[in-house]
Amino acid sequence: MIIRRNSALIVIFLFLVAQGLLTAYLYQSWQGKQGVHEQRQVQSVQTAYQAAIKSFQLATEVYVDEVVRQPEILQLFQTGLIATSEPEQAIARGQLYRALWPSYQALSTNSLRQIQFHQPDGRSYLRFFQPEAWGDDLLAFRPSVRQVLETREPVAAFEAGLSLTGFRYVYPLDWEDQALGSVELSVPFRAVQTLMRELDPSQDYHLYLKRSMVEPVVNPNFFVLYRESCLHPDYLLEDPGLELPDSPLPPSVQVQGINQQLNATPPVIAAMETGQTHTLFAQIEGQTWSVILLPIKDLRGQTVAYVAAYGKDAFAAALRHDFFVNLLFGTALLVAILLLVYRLLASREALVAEKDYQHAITDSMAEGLYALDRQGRFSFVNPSALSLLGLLEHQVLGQPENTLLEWQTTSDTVPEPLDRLSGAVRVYQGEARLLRSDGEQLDVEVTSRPLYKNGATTGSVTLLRDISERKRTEERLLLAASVFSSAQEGIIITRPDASILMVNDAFTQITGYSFGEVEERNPSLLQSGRHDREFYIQMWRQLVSDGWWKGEIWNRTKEGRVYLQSSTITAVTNAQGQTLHYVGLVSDITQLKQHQQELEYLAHYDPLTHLPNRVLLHQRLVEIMQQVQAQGTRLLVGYLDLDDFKEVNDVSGHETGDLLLKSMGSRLQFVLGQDALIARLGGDEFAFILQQQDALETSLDQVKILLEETAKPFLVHGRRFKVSASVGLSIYPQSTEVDADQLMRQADQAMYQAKQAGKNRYQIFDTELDHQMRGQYETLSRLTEALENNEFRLFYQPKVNLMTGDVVGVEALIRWQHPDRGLLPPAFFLSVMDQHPLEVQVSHWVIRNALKQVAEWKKADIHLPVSVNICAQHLQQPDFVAQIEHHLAEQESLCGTDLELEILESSVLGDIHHAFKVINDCRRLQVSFALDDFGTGYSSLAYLKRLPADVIKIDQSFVRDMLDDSDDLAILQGVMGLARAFEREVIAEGVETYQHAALLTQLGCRLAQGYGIARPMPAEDLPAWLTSWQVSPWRFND
Amino acid sequence: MIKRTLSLLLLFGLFSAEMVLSATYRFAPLPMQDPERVVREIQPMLQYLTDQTGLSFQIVYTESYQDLIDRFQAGEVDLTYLGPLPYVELSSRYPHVDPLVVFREPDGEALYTCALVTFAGAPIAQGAWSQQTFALTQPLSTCGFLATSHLLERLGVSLGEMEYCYVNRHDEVALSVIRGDFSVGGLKTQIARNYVHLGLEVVEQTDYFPGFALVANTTTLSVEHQRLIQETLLAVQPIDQPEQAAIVAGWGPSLRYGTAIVMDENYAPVRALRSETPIPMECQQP
Repeated sequence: MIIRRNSALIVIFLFLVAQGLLTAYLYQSWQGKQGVHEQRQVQSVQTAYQAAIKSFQLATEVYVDEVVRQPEILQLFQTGLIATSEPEQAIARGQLYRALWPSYQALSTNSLRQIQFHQPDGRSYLRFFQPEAWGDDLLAFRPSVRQVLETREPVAAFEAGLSLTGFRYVYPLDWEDQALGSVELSVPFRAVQTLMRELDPSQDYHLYLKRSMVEPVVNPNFFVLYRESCLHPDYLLEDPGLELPDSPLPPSVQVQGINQQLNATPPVIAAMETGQTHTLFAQIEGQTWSVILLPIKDLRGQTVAYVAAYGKDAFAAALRHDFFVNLLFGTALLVAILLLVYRLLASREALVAEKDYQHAITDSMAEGLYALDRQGRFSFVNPSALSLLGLLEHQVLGQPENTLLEWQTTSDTVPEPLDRLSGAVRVYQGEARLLRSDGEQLDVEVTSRPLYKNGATTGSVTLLRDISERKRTEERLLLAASVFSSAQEGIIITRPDASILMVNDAFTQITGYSFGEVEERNPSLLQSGRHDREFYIQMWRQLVSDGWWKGEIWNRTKEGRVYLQSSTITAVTNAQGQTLHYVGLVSDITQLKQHQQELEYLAHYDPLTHLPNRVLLHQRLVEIMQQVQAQGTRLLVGYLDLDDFKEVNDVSGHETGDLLLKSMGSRLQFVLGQDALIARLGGDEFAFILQQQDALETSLDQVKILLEETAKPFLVHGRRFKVSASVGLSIYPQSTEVDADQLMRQADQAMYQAKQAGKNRYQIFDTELDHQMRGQYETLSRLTEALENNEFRLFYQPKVNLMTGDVVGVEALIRWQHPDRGLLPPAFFLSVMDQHPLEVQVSHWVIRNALKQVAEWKKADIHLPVSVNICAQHLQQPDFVAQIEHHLAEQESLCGTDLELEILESSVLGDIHHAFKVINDCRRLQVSFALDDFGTGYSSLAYLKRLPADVIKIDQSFVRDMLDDSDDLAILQGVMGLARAFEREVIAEGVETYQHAALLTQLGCRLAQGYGIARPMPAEDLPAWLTSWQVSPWRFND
Repeated sequence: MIKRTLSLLLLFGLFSAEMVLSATYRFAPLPMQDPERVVREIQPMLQYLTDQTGLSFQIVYTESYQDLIDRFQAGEVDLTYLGPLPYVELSSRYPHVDPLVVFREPDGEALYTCALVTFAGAPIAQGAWSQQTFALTQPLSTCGFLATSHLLERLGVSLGEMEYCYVNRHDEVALSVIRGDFSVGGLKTQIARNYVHLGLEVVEQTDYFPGFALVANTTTLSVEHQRLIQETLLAVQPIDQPEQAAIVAGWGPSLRYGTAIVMDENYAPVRALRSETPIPMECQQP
């Protein structure tokens, strides 16, 4: 087992601390005992030394008192001192020598080295050792002599002499109140050494003299007797060679060995420099020796020598041994404890790690896990369970389960905790709905069982798995299956290799193939042969690259019928982008396509004459105008109206009239040539476009020929009919820029002029006159001024339900109350603002005032929603929806249903995605959209299908002539069919007569507006009109 | 071959020189002197010789002149410091001796005298000499029986008939007389003067004898080294060259005044006296 690094470091640290403390304690104990032992030893040595010194002192005292201080001696001394001649003094000195020689001789054999008498002036008077020396001044190098002579008190001191050092005992001598001087008895260290050894034979004593004490005093001739001590370079050993008989005994071999070991080591140096007693130790031949350094001080208290006592120190060795043994055992014990602690820590960490691991497991479980105790209280809950329960740990632990949770099941009831505890239910497993304390419900899968410990039930343990998502998934799958089965569109699901996996009923209805007939087969079985191989290659290429394909395919049913299929194929991929399936949504759009084609044909061609209609003419005119502009040529627009054609219809009927019109169309094409563009505008109106390469006259000649041919009789059903034509011509390019509409209007106007001029002629449009007319249109600045001056007015045209007679709303139409020119229609000024910001401002003005008016009407209990025309520029604004919302908010009494926005097809085509979003967003405000002038623009069925407009407003051009023009009627029928197909409401504009209304109702058009119902009126006139309408409304529900 | 021989010779020569230069010779001081005096007085001179010649010297103490002579003969002593009578005695027994130099006296002479001393505090009457006791140095000491008997003859006393004893050292002679152990002593006059302050009085003194000489054992001390030692000591003449006083300042009183050449012929008077005076070897006491 290993423990974490931190724990190991702590254990090691603690061990080191314990080891340090143990070592310190044992060392301190050792040193303490050692100190006591050393103290004792030092005391022993000191005692021996002092005893030796004192004994000699005592002996010398006795000698001086008993021998020297005898009268005869003192008299002899005095005689010598007071002698007036040297011979006299010499005799006295000699006599003194003779008198004391016997005692000296006796003492000198027993340690005493010297007896010396000192004169009062400090000179040597008599020496017994080296008696030939005398008269030298002792005061300079013998402090003891000086002190005695000065103090007249005895002094004992260790001092160097002329040859050797020794212990000096100096006593003052007085005779008859006269200070005679002093006497000195010197004992060599040898005597002290010997005595100390006798007192303490366990020690070997040696003397180390301080160099600074010896060298100034000793005769240089005797320097050879001194050797430098190996203990300290400043200390000398006296006569180790025993040149002199009473020199100290030299160190033994063992002592020499000890000294070599201690050879000037720092501790020794330091000890000897302290001048204090110190104990050193050395190991010789496996034995511990102690070396006690006892300082010898001079009279000034300065260390002048050391007495070193060498002795075997078994006790110190024992102490040292005990220290190391105890340290060893203590360390061993600590190591054992360390190992134990280590194992305990390792076990604990293992347990903790295991517990953490178990916690990690329970914490990592996606399932919720909780345990209850015998009282049904939560004793354990993992994070997943807390998440499922929507609670925090402190809210759960210790709380009874039944206070926090409530179970709902469709089958077995989840047993109460006690049941689980009692083991009444060994294992419960099932689905349940958990009612959390916060009210949220959760579908879970529960597994619960009693919790056993040591054979006894201690609680229960429950595992929860959130199956909400699974439930939802199941619901979605069911829904998907339902959708799959009941969808109106065919659904085909294939594998990536295009083998069919599944098809729904709609697919079968469309193709005639049942699931069993197509399972595992390739959809290519539906191929009709109308598409080449490249078509399918491109389709699959896009499928593979983009993951989808949308388009129309000509397929063949099981019965062999070829049909047009609208297909949307989508690749279903996994997370790695691999295609798992292809899902195709298919629908039979053959009829729709036909309808569309028909409609498109009808939208662009006159069904009677098969000539292009107004819409196609306009498109072609725009194109030709661009060509003319590019090529620098000229074109001529002709507006042809048959003269007196109404009589033909009235007399011979519409069928005859139609046939005549057909013939006329052919004749016109024949006359003008196949390259000429001829269109039937409706009724008896035709238009043509001539591109001029030559002079105008050439074209005019053609027009003349046209008039002539037109005037020739027609034979219909065996009857001759004769008509003529009035032709209006406009020429392009002009001095000012004009568009296609303007050219048409110019030609139209010219045609009327031709009519008024007598018919059967042509008239060329007078541009100058037109400029004058156009001058009547105001500039933008004036219009801005009009907006600011509130010169605009809104007129309202009611919209009615032809079935019920109800007024369903009004359309707001702008007028300009020109201060000079009176009320002007929008045609006079709206085009000037086209794509100008003023256009949007005016649009805002219209919306604001229209809603304001609606709010006013509501106050008068008139509840009518208002329709407002929205220009493309305004619709395309990014914040259009917010603007509408703001306008609605300005009128608290209004909501979205009070507003309908009318937009042209063309205004949607600009940014169709933005338009779609705007419309959808407005619909969320409950604001509805109507597609205005429907049929006059071009939009694909796909756009129409996707365009979320609520209402389609059929252009008045189709309605106005529907009674007379079967084509317009057909178009109207087509539009109605389309509106029904896409489930849009339809309102017809331009209802001018009751008959129009009646026919519209037959076609299924319920809503209508037009002059026949009501002309646009001021707001204040509406209430009266409503009243009158309600009296006799148009109602076609019978 | 020649190269090898020369190399060997050179090596031998170097080795020999090393051996020679590093030779340690045994020096025996006066038998009578105490070791402290020897160390104090003799050792400095020996150290000077060592410093100048590279030779080492080891002091060998002897108990008596006889002991010295015996050890000289045995080749256990290479150099010694002898008075004239010991030299005469030694040379008569052991011919392989050669006096290298003789040490001068304080007056610069290479001669010395022996003295007859008494304690001034206990003078001896004229006719009382025959009742006195005599302290002598050693039998073979010049100032011992030989000189003392010669001096007593002047006083009409025959030492052979007196009570005398050999106390070995000159200092001891002086001190024994001062102490009263003996009434009269015979010693070197120079040494006697060291004790005048203790009341020692010189009564008579002899004529001059050759001074103490540094005597070489020619069998153990090479001629080369003899010459080296001789030349070294002869070069020290502090009386003539005061600047050399520092060299000899630490030498003993009997050594510090310089040296002189001495030859065996200079000892003829001592030989003559010796031939006339039988020297007893033992004390004569009642």
